[in-house]
Amino acid sequence: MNAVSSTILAYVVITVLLWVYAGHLFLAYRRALQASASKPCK
Amino acid sequence: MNRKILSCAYWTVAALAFAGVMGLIYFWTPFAIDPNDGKPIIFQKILYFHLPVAINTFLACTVCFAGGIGYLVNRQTWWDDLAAAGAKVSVVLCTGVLLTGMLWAKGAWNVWWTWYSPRLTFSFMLWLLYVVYLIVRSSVEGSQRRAVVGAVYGLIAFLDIPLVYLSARLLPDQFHPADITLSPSMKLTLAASFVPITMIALGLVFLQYRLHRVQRGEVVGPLTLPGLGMRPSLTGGAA
Repeated sequence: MNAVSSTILAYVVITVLLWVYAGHLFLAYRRALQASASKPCK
Repeated sequence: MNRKILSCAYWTVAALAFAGVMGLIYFWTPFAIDPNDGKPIIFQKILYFHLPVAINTFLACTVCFAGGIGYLVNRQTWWDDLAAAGAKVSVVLCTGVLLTGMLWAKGAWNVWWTWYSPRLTFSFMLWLLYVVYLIVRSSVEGSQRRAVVGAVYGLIAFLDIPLVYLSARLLPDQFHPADITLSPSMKLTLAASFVPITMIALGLVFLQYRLHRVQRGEVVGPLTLPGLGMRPSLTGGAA
């Protein structure tokens, strides 16, 4: 693996890791909100 | 202002800043020059994301540490949720640090990993400690017991942070220099890259924290971030 591809891959890794995790959290939060909203009030 | 708009604005600014810094690194920042042969060091550009993500890993670990102390002092669940959020984000960020570090090592020294760098070894230990934190949390039954075990473990795990920081200064390390010399434009780019990475890291901690609060059944917690629609908008007004 040469220096250019190492560098590009490092940027891809960071970008994907951060934004995929953020997207996952957004979706999980939405789902959790909807699940809690559908629960009957005590 | 509406929380959803604030959330949208926050993440849009973070995304734009992220893209802007990418452009800055690619188009504006000069390559570091190898003093031995005068050739540009291409993989040195990994630094502009590697270092901010590493510093933000420390920040997330500090959130976990503070959450643990807060829980042990106050015994309020939101401290525990904050600690767990810090731990999860620190694992993700530390994964990023290790992966980019490995790619840098491959480009610079033609090895993926070396145990001869104390900072590398302590960073791996940090990742392992917080992965074990999450495993321990999920394996302890009872909310209160889990919180106490997590808090105590979080305090112990935090002790690795000074080791990671000081290892390159106090121990012989040919791979991680104690100080880095950068030109003014490189320093500016490095400073600029801290902005989106810190915004994303803080946003992730708060998102994760809010998720834990909702999962616990506590929609509104002491920390209500710019973010994230509140329950009333989904339930039609009933909080």
